[in-house]
Amino acid sequence: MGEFRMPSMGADMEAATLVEWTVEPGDAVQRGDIIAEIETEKGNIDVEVFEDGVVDELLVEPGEKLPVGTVLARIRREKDDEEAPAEAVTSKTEGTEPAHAGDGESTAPRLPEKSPTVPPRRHVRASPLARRVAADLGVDLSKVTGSGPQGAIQRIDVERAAQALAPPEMPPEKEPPEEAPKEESPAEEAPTEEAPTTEAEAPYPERMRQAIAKAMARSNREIPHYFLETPISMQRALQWLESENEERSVKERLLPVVLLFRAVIRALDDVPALNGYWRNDRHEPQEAIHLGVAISLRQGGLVIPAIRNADQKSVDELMQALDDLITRARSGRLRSSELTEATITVTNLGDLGVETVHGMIYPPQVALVGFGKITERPWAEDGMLGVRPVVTATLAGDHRATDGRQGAKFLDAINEHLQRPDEL
Amino acid sequence: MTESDITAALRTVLADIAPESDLHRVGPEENLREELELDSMDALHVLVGLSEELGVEIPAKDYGRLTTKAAIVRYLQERSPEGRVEG
Repeated sequence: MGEFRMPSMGADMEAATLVEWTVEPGDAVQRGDIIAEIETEKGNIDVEVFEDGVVDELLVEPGEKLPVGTVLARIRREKDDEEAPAEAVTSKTEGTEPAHAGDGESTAPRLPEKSPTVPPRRHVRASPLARRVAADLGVDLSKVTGSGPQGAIQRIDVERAAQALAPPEMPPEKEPPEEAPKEESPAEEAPTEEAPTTEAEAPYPERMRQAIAKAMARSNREIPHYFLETPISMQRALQWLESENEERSVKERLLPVVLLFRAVIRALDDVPALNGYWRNDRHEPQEAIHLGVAISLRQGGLVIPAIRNADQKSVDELMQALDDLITRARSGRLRSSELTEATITVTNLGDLGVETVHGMIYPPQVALVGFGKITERPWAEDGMLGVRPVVTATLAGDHRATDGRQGAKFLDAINEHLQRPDEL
Repeated sequence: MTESDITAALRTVLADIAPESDLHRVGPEENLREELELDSMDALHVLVGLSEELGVEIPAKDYGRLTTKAAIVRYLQERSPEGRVEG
């Protein structure tokens, strides 16, 4: 029997409020499915389940504010019902490599269809909440385009589809709450009628400020930072990008930031020590690269969700992932795994105009990479002075985990990779 | 395509990308990205959106020129076939 606990969404989070369950006892869940929505300083977050199984019992009611680690539900592993030992589940999830979380289709066929409590799953990728909302609103999921990971259908997609179908007064037999439909249309089966989202909305920017304050104060207190910086000519990278974009349709075009991200990922291959955590007085380099991306929010503050398994993504897939991440970060639809697993952070503050950014590491990570604005600058090369588009790359490293030598090697590797854009 | 067609399209597109932005407050020659705090992804979406709304292809190499309202209007009017009413 697995225990599903209140997850920590980062070093700065101590508690969160359960907003709603998106499953009920008896529902079959797969690793990566969203089973609850919680409200944190970083906005509302869809929480994913870590293992396959069947929801056995929901232990807390929506509306309760609960410390990290509180047991929220019990999940019966499907194997509990059968003869196979529990290791079968853990062996799939060993190590740090959660490559398939949320990747239901490719790893899916693990749920025994014969289990009496398990409703047969349709072949549409959708979160449990989206399925329920779709059922409530009479939306045919096979006709909805998903905006989630791998095109998974999420509640918002269903609601959009429903809005497209029906005039605004649509929910047929239940009283719609007074707020806008985007926020919450509480599932009918939700254990309490009170959807606690509205009241919590108000002090939100302040709470996010406090969360950032806590994390950054801890960073400054605990992490002995060292800072390195180097200018990098973007001439080749931008030329490559331009010719690449010429061939592409408007929707497939790439941004320079994606090449920068790819170069970071490649450089982490060369200097893996920078990818990982400092925990319990120990350096824990990680194999999978979950690239944290600092995204500033229009209402103020920032979030650092991760592009998970970024090392396995092509330039195009990274572009899509980034686009998706930014959109969801701003609309408050991030998933728990995205907020907990970043192994390194990249901040691209240059997008907003500065030339150089010296960042603070987000604990327990051990490095933060910054890119400034790409600007034309005088550039001497081969005895000639010319003008080149140049970006300043910076590294904030945790001196407990790595030394300047590794940091220097890393920045140099970023440069090297950006000089060979076709190999990115 | 008139200037107001283009401005209307721009407003529609921005409503999705930066809902709180107020296009009225940005002067025709002011830098849109800076004034509305659009990052590069937002800016790309604005151009993609405009291209879809108005049915005008915008090659990537021209993105750098489209920094102000006035530049966008001029550019799109040049690119759109004469007599076109809407996209």
